[in-house]
Amino acid sequence: MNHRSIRRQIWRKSINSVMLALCGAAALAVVAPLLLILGYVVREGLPAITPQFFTALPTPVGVPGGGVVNALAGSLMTVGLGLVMAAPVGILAGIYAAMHPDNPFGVLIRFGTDVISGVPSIVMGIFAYTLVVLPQRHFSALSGGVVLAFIMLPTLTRTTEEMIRLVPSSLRDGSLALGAPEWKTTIDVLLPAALNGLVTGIMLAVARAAGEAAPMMFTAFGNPFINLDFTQPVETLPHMIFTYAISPYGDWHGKAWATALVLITLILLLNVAARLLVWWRGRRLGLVR
Amino acid sequence: MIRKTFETELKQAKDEMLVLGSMVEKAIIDSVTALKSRDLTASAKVLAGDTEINKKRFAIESQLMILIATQQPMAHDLRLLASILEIISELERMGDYAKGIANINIRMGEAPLLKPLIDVPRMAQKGADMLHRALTAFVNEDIELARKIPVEDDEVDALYNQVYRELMTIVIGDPKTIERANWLLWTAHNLERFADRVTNICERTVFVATGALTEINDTDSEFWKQK
Amino acid sequence: MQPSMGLRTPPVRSDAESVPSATKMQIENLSIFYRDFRAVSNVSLSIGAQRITAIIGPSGCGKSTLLRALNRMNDLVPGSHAEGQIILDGQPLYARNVDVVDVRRRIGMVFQRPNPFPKSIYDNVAYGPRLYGVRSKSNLDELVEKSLRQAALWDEVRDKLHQSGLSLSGGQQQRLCIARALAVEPEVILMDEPASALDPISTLRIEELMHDLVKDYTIIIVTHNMQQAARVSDFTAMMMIDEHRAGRVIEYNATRIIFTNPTDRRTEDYVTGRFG
Repeated sequence: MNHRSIRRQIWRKSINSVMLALCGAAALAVVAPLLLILGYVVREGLPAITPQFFTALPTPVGVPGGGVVNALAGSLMTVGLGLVMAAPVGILAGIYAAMHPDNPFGVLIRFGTDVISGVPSIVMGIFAYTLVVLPQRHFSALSGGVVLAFIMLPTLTRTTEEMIRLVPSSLRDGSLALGAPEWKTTIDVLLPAALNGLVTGIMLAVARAAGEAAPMMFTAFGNPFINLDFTQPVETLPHMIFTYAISPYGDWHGKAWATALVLITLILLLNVAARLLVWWRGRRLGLVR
Repeated sequence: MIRKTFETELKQAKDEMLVLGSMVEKAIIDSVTALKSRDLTASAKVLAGDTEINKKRFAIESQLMILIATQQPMAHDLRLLASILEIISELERMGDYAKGIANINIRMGEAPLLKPLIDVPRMAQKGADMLHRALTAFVNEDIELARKIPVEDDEVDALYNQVYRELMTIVIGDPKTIERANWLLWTAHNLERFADRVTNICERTVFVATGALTEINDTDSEFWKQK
Repeated sequence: MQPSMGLRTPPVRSDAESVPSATKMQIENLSIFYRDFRAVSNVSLSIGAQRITAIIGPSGCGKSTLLRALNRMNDLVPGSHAEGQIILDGQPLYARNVDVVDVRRRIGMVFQRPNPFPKSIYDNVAYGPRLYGVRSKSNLDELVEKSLRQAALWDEVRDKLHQSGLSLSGGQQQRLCIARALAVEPEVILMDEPASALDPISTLRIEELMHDLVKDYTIIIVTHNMQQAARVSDFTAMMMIDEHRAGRVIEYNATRIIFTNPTDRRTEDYVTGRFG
């Protein structure tokens, strides 16, 4: 090897190292905030976590102990209701948009979801307030569910559409060639094939909805007690974080961190559960893992 | 050009076949010349040459087998390669006729020729000439020429008839000459068969060009009817 | 190393032409359009029953388009329409009161890339019969076994019918797709380059399978592999694009003639590899 090619090699290697370093730095810059947030939440919130945190009702200021069981129940109710309302509509709309991309309705669906997802959630909250709270004359878990449904809808629709699109057309062809009608093909072949992606979409939607505090102020409103009646106000985790956080009390600040930790952990567990479900399904069908 | 390598190899196969053809032409002429001049050394050379002819024939055959296996020839290419295989087989047998004549010369040893050879060399010349033109026609896919050559076989047959009559006359006159007459008759027979095989080569030319495999000029049956 | 899979090259079916075959499918002046563009132009072919007919030609000459028109899969392409007619056992396929589902039941299709559903092997094969109302487990079991046997796959999967179709190898997946198509008991099987995505041994297996299937079914295969068309088919149609970029059948004859002495110069050039 001669003099010049050795120099070129060194030059190449150093450029390589510089680029790698830059990439590493960028990755760090992206991950750092996430790690910082998680670190903070864990550090600040963990001290206040006790077993009764999950089972007890909130206590007044100054009284030690207390928990967030009402917010847990309330979040479950509102998010659950929102999912029940949004999932059928969103998934069906997503299927339609995927099957008929050039159809005016298909275009409308896509355009509509883009618009909705751009609406600030607080505006959604006001909308639900006008739609549900005013006629009912009181706050309720129902209105909370409604607003979360609106918030979840674009994500569900979009992800469903994308995932169905990703299913290879050969699968669709195979079913149609056997004489299956379009609708049966969609239900029996396309949806199962897109299932993993759909689950991801649902998880994303749920994660977003579970963390919305602003709209809850106008709809679910809050409740110091557990309430399982949908027509009555309920407390939700993000709203509780807000309440604790803006208060002037130190121990409530601690509780805010703790509630945040609970919320984040809950969403994490939900994700893990969904992944496990998908994996187990794959294993059951004998797919090599 | 697509299949440039294949085209080159096809041309090579044809060239090799032509080389084999010229070896056979030379062999038949040399064998008769050696007989005419009672040159036993020359006949020995013809025998050695036949070994070369056989070797070459098998070499060409191996090459063609490889070509067929690796190039998947179809239609015209397939007919061409199949025909070359057939032709080199014919050429090898035609070479054997020359070998037979060389053997006759050697076995005759010191015995003198029964009569001076005039028609026999003419048969050899004609046969070699027909072969040369038939192979040229094959390589050029000249159907016209290929159809005309087999007719000339009649000339060779006529010469054979003549030789036959002459030798019969001699034998009837002097029965002790039968052995030597036999040798000469056998030589003429070889040359007559030599010319017959040229017809097969001409049939192959038509086959490659048109895909039709038919007998051309089936006058041999006519010939035997006359006797 | 020699392959010892008990495979032999499929025997030449010399009786294919000497025993005349009834016409299973008559294609009459078929043209296929994508909006205004004529993709296939005026094709007329007589497809023999219980014979294998191959469609060959250079890329983009409309072979697959033609094939897909035979079971009306082209209907699924927006803006596609056909002129002319296809007659199956005396019944026209492009007519007002024709049930497309029935057409696709009678004319099955196997695609270039194996496309098993993300379901178990059993459910893959049972998908078709279930569509047509077969519910009883014993009937389904029987159908599934019969189809898998016909596709020469039964012995390999009999113990793992519940496993996903996707857990099989490429060649097995394609045979699964064939079994799936056979399960609805079609009369004609269309194959769109069925072995082009497979390794050579799997390809030979599929070809062997075709020779077995043709005793009961009529098979039409599109292939860009000429040697495969030569090995496998009884009749071959040669397609080519004309000056308006529409595909036409330029020659249609017994396979042995197409590959030893074709009439059209363009066919000769194509099969000898001088073009296309």
